Amino acid sequence: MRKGLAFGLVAALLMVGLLTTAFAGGQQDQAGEEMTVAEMNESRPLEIGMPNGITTFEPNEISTKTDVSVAEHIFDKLLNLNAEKELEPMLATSWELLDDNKTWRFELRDDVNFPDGEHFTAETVKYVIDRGLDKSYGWKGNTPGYIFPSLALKGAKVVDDYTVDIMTGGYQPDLPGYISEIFIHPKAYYEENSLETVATKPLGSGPYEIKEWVKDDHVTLVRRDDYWGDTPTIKTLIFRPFPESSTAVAELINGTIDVISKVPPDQAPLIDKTNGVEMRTVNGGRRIYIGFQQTADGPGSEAVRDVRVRRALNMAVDIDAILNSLLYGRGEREGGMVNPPHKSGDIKPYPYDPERAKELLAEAGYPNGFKVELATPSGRYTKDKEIALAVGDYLKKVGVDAEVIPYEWSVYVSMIKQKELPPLYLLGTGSSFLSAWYDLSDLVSVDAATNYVNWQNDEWDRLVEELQVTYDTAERKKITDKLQMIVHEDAPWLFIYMQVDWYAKSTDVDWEPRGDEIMDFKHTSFKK
Amino acid sequence: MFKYIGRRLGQSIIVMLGVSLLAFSVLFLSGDPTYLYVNERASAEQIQEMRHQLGFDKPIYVQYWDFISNAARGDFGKSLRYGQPAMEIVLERFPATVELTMVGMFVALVFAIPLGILAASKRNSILDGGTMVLAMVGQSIPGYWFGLMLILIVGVHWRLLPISGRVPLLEPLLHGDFGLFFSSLGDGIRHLILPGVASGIWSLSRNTRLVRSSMLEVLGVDYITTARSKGVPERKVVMKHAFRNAMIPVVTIVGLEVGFLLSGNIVIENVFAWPGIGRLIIFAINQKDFNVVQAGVITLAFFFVMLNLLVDILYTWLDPRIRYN
Repeated sequence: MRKGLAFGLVAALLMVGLLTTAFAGGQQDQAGEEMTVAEMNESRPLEIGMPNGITTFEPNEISTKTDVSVAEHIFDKLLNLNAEKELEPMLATSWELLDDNKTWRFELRDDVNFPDGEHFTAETVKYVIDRGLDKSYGWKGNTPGYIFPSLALKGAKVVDDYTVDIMTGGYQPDLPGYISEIFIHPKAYYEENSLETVATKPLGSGPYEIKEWVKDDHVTLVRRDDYWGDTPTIKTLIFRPFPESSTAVAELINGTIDVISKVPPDQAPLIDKTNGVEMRTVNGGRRIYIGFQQTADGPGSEAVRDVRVRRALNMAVDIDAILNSLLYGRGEREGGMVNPPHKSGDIKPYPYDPERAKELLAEAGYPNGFKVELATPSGRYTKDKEIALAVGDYLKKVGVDAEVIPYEWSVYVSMIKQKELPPLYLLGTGSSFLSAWYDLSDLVSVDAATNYVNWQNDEWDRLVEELQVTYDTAERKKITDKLQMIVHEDAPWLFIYMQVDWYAKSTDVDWEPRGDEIMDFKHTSFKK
Repeated sequence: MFKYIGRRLGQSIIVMLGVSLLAFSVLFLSGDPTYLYVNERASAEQIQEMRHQLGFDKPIYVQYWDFISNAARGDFGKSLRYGQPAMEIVLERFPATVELTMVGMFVALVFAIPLGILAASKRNSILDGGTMVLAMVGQSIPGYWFGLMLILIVGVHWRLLPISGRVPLLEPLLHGDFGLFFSSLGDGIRHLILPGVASGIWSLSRNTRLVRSSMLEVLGVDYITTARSKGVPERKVVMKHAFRNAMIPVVTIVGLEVGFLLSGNIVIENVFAWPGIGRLIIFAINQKDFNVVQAGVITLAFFFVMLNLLVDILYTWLDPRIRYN
């Protein structure tokens, strides 16, 4: 009995002691002093919440926007695509296309050193290109897996210490834009260390370096005061992953996080009415559309091969009402597949006109409509399933009985890659702000891997051939404007909108999101 | 006894083989897994090259044999996302999951035992009824929702405790860095409370009911009646004579519970951004990093099976009436 009492007392004291230790620490954290903006920039870390953790810092394995966003602060590139979607010099000071129309020449800075002392030269660029092209590594990242094949990249040649040529298999007017995604890294460090080491301890010439990486918990970057370019204002950045968006929103409201991304639209009203935080939305580059699969089988497959039916379905849906109700009015109806600033001014969205839609369906031989399957992913894009269900409802009103079937993404992506899609399917295709042709090239030819609708148009094919041998910028714009109009009029897609990206931030932070989903804090500052 | 242990080990190996087959098969559930690893703009040649690199062009039985022979050595290949050995990544997350599991177990037992004993000794009273209602509510609440409510009320409205993240305690302890351990203790505990309570609430509720029913069963047997008739004080009857025997089924459950908490914290780890194995597995599934998924699932299954075996072996020590025959 006494032993039991003694044990109980000791246990109770231990519990009280632990809880006191826990909460005493908490009270100290809440005490704070008023700081100037300059002091905040130096001593207060900027904490950023992202939906996923960092997976790697190996430049040739980076593929997610999360990894890219953090890597952008550690590495430099030859060129930089800024927030205004303009290409600007970075490690390269100038660039030009040579007379063969397949070689781009870059003049480089001569005053850049990596933190290990290695000097940046044309040899560094050649090393980076050669390393990315080396198939023995089996890279799976964006640079070797997408950029290099898209450019049909042949390699790089050192002209002199600060001049390098990059050669491609054909005319690639968008090469500078693609180059702005390649992270430059030093030869000595990456040759001397194992792949596992460089994946966790990167070395770049960028304005920040890693102080600490606790996987799945946080990455801390600190500013390099010996950076060759404009030194960032905020000294310390902490990136934290939040798989659950509600938790990220709670942290933002609590003031323990300063910026969060991928905010669910239904949390926007809560953030809007909370003091000290504010929503930020930006028109992103992702085209959300419903494709009309031209080689599908099953009910409705014959109907969607008729352009009158495709135009009718575009007019049958009140996209503005869908955006207002599901996305709180953020986003605009689209009429084509090209992002601003390269979108043709002649392209206007189809009007919402259900009566005209019924007339067109009747002309095409479907006065009573038809049945069709509409496939959609679920949770891959913002409100994807909900948008598909809403579109299905509108189609029913003009007699098209669309059965909406959601699929898990890993199943859906197999259907997409193997082009085993039903006549209607919802998808979001990434694009860029580099050029009109970049966005149009999804449909470059009927058998292109990205032409998931298997769409073909004779006039389109003729103009695409003409574009390949047109080098004058103004002439190219005329052709791409025509191509945009063909896509609009032939309507291989039911155009919905360019996905709006949802962010939220503390009112203490002077930062605006970019349309390319990259979170850039190099020019950010605290404010009062 | 050794025969029994040998037999149980054999059964455990069969269970692990079954788990490995499931873990291997999941990769193929959505068709050709190659498509999960290539960019949406990949050409047919790039897809075929990736298929060859990943070994998906080999016959399925060859792929499975490669898989289990490597898995037996703890080799699940490299993580396609992290570039490190998949098992290494799983083991890096283990201390975080163990910490959360320990706190969950603490919540599940430390409060359940006295509550269950009180409810049993005051049977049919308001205390008994109230405890049982709370226990049923606790078992009915979805962990995901309860976690979010804790964040909202305790973290946001009251601002009493941190909402997410972790301050490591187990790692400095295991590395012998006691200075770091003690300096991190307060913050570490604060970060553990909300996810620990959310993790342990279901088990706490279930264990309360289990302790109560076990106590009631023991309090009804003859030797208890004898003790009471001999004038033994009620407190001694409950705590000295009834309690130890009533705990036998509870101890059995504890072993299963540790395994359950280890694997069932997936949701809690996601809600509280706790960097444990469960969260890693979910992320790996979303990122199609199946080597990590397989390593994580098989590791958790291994610990679950071993814990079960340990509990079965301990059972005879707890209850001498049980013999292995």
